[in-house]
Amino acid sequence: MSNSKTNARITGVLFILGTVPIIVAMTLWGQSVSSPNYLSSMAGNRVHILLYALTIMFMGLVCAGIGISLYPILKRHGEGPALAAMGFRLMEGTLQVVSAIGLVALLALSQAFVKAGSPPDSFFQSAGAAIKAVNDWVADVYLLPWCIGASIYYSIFYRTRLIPRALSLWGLLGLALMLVSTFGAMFGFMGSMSSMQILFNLPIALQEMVLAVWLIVKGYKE
Amino acid sequence: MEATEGKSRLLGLAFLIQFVTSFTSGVIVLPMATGVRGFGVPDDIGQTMANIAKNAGLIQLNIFMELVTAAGVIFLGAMLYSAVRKQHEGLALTAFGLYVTEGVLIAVTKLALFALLVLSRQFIAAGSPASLELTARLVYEVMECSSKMLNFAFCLGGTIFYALLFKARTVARPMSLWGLVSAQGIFAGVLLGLFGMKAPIFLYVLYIPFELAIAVWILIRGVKKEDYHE
Repeated sequence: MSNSKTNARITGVLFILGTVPIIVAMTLWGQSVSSPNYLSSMAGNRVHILLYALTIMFMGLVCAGIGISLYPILKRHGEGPALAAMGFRLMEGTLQVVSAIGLVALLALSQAFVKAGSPPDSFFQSAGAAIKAVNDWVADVYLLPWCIGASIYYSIFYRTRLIPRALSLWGLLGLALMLVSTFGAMFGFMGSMSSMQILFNLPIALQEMVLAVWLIVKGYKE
Repeated sequence: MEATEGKSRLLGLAFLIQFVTSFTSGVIVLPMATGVRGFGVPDDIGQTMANIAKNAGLIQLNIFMELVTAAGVIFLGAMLYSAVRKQHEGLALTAFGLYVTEGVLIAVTKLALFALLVLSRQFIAAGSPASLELTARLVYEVMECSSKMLNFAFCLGGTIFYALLFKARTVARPMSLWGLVSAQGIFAGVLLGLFGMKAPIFLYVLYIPFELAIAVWILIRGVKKEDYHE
């Protein structure tokens, strides 16, 4: 009983750590990456970019941790789906780590660009555009395994009433909206990190924070 | 009992999804989009980039299908784990981990393809400069290398799973033996590729129809019920 309570608390804390630090990091240090002059601005903000990359990497590890911490609870209600949910969140975490590596690569390119005297219409712009496009794309793609993994555990939560059904249903609906926005962004129907995409992702972000508090305070219903 | 039949169908379905998406995207869509029919970096990378820029829709379709494959691999790994964990839990979990690695590497390979698409568009817009060919060649190499690594993870994971399926008799033994033997062909091909040698196509041929065959087998005949872990 107490194990389950501890596990719920850990999972709740991980949910918060997987969301809050990255929002703070994006607000504080993300501007130079999203700026149109990222090649020159990133080099001047080396420490900020490295901190931003570190936060993304931390988020990746936390997301993988969510999958691992949910596994012992979910496996009581079906080992296959529990393992699949964990696998998808591990995949999400790894892709976030890849995204952090991409950011560091972009920083290295930006530094080389400035060192070369910021030449216009050079190799740097094309290489930068490719790395940045891939990085932006990873930021959308990692949401897919998250959606699949989270759909699995919210379905189990809904079926078993481990958390209130309304919360599980909110999660499933939020994930459906996020899936629409992810595909929209991946295939160019919606801007990546556009206000429309943020609006679509808001319900699941809020739901996860409510779920986190619920797990910390109330835990799973036994 | 009904739950076991449901799981058995899910396992069959997982193999089927895996076969349909990987075969269609790898054997039909990608060669159509790039104009490259064999393995390795094409000699005329400029022409390949022009093809990619011209067939951006097909490239995006390939990426989408491969992402479905990546999800399918993890799903299949979880289903196989449930089916064989009674035989050896540690080995089954290791194989599942290798399937997760494979799924991640599929996504990474497709990231490299996406980078190639962006570079190809820039290559055409900039009037085909040679400097971009060099970068594209590098990205293509990364794509090829991660593709070899994902096959490596798959071969190890597949070998463990098929050996456990063989031991458990979850499906007919000739079927799991087919998987076990044909995965070694891919393994040999991957090893040759890693050391820069061209792998003969026959090494891969035996495995290609296997996933379809086992999917159909499981969907029609089901699995041995008492070994399917609830």
